[in-house]
Amino acid sequence: MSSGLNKKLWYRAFVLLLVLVIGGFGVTTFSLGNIMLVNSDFYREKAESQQLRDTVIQAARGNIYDANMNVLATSATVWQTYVTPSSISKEEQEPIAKGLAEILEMDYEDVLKEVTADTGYETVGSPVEKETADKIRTFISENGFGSVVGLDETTTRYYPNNNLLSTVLGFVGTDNQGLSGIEYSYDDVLTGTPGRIVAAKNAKGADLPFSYEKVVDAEAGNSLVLTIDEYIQHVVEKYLEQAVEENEVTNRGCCIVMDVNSGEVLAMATKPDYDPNEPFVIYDEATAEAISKLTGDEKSEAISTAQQSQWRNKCVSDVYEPGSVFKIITGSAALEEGTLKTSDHFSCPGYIVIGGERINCHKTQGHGGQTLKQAFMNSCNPAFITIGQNLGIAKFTEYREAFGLESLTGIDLPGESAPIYHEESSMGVVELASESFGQTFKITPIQLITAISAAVNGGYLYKPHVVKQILDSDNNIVENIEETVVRQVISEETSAIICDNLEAVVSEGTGKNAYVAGYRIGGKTGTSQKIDTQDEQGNIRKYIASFCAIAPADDPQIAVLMLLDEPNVPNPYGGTLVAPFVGKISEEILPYLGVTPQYTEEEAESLSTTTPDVMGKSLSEAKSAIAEAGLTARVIGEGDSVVRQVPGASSSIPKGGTVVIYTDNAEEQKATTVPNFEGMTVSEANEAAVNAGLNIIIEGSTTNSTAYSQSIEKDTQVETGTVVTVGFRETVTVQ
Amino acid sequence: MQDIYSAYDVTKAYTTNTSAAPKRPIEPSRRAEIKRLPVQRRQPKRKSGVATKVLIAAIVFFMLFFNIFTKVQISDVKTEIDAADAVIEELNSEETRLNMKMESMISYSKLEEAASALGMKKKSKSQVHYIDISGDDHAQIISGDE
Repeated sequence: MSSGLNKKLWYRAFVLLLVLVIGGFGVTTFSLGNIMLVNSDFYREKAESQQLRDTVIQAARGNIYDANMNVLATSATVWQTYVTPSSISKEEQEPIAKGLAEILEMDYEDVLKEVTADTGYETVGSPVEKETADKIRTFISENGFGSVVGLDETTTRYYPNNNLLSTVLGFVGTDNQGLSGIEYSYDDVLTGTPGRIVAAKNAKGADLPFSYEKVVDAEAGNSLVLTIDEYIQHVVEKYLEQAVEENEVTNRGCCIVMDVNSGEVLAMATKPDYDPNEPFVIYDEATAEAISKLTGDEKSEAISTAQQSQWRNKCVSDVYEPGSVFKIITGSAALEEGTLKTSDHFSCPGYIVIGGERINCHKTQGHGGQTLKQAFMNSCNPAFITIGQNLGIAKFTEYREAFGLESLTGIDLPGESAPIYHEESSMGVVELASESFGQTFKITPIQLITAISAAVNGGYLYKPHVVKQILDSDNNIVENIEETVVRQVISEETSAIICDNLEAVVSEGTGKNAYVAGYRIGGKTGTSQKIDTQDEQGNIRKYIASFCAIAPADDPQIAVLMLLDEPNVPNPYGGTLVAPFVGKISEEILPYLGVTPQYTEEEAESLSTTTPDVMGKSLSEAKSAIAEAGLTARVIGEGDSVVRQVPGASSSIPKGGTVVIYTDNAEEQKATTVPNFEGMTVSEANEAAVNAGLNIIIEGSTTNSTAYSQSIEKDTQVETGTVVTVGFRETVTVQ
Repeated sequence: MQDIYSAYDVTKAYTTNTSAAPKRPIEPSRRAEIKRLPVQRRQPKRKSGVATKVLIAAIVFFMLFFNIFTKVQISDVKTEIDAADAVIEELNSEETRLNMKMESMISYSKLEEAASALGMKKKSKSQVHYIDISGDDHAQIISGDE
């Protein structure tokens, strides 16, 4: 019996043990199965995060250089301050907020909001540079906030020239991704491939030595070399900004300089613009003020609209009616097709009737009889309507397409707008008439300058581009972007005729204000009505004034197109408002591009000369030197030697000008007041300058012209003999 | 007392001259002495085994210590290298920032402003003289018979 009991007891014990063993191992096996099979990914990640440090190495974004390898955009490391609010004790909140607000120059309440947030991680302020980052590090270590305040490394983009080229360069977002301009269109080239460091961690969380580390190096992004020349861009922006301000332009202005023989864009500007270092700031003061009065969604929407507007590259993204500048294209097509000859004559009574519609010329009294060259010089609408009618709808549209005006140019910039025009099938004689002188259709400025470049370079249409080279991180060439000829549109003979006519426009026609002594400048004025702004009474009060120059006219190298959208001044004509600025741009960039001036005898005669150095010389020697330079001496004092001269040595002075010399016992220097030259004719300005004892240098067109600028402001007290440069421009109606 | 090692005079025991080998049988007393010899020789061997073990243990311990010490050193150096890399990166970044700051200070517009403030003017056309240096190629013999 006891034996049976024992057996039973043993059996039960065995069963219990078996159950325990099976149960215990079962749970373990189940747990292992769960860990190894079901949730393997979760536990693997957890183990890896505990044992390994996996760090992404940000790839350095490539630089952007101008054509001469000047840096236009580059990247560097900055630091983003962060806090871990869930780990911050109540006692720590205030000192942390106070300290960070002081260092980051932020509002205390704003920082406190971040510090007391109901989250585990909050960034504070914007990324900071080393100096500020060091202050934060000191603040953290001195106060023992290491576990709740920190700095994350990130990168920022620097644009050293601030606003220069901003609408073309674009900018990057906080994640270093291109959001606009070249930064956007070449984002995949500029962005490299991020690398990784996978390292084993020790008990303290620090990295274990080399053998436990796997490094996959980041591949830096490639750099871009632009066709844009920083100096030409600077000149263009300087004069465009002046033009926009002086003419109170309300819808921005833009300007493009293109190498007509390659399609390379040498400069491209839109004003007003923005600083890509801080692209989200609203730079237009009036807009910013208006936005500040708004609240809620309305405010957000207004901010977004204003930002989009200031970032917009008007040269490629805005379409406009080109006006009379388009007559270059109409003329080129007709000459090429043989429906127009240089010997043709046109009659302009001030209007023309087409399809029962009366279309006026800008000169309502009419230009009378004129040759083709005169039609170009006068920018006569009836003449070009006639040229267009003779060409016919089919050929007109054929050449419009051939000049690339029915499609995108394919420029390597984002946001290029498509043109708006009448299809051949929907075009009647009236539409043909209006399109012949550049109205009732819209194209972008980049399309127009590309087409005009083709018209003057021998007929070759090039694809415009702003990037000419891609470099690797060691500046080795990865890719050369060569010019692309799309097609030949017109013959070299036709192109030469167009150049000849355009030169006449500047030397004798409506483009006189773009004249530059020593250079053969050609060009075409344009004043287009913004037909879509027509009011209920049929009045159009908004205009676009534009001018396109080519230089040198006998062998074109560059084309310059500038337009002012809605100038708010009387007589908003392209020839009056825009041509003088295009002339100034040409005058500065042509010598820079190595185009030497060739003065005519008349021009050489009117050129200024340079004053000799007569300081310290005897009176007789000084007088002799001044006379030898073709100048007149005016002596003040009765001494024997010269102690002072005005203008100083090597100054520019008009031929026959007066040099005032002071002798050793001269009394006080003679002062005079600069008169107001504005509105004076050349002879009136000369007389005023002589009366005031000043030397005057005349700039710009001198026929039918009046003064519009002077180098020294009116009523300024200057020494007698000082040289004042006065700018003149033709003010008669020049479209 | 007889020298026990005299029987093991190697010069005698391992002489190559076999004719000189002893002809007499070894005495029992000498046999006993011979048997004891291994016992006498094992004693120093046991002492040597402990020492070896201690030595090996010491070597192992030293190697282990040296290995750990080396790894600690490498770890420290690695930390220092990482810190130095971070400093280099920081300084490179600072160099870029300062270069950009300098570039922005010498931009064309800033230069023009500064020059204008100093009363400087751009050169006028009359101050520029173009010199034509183009011409046909020519050679000049500076010495020789001809």
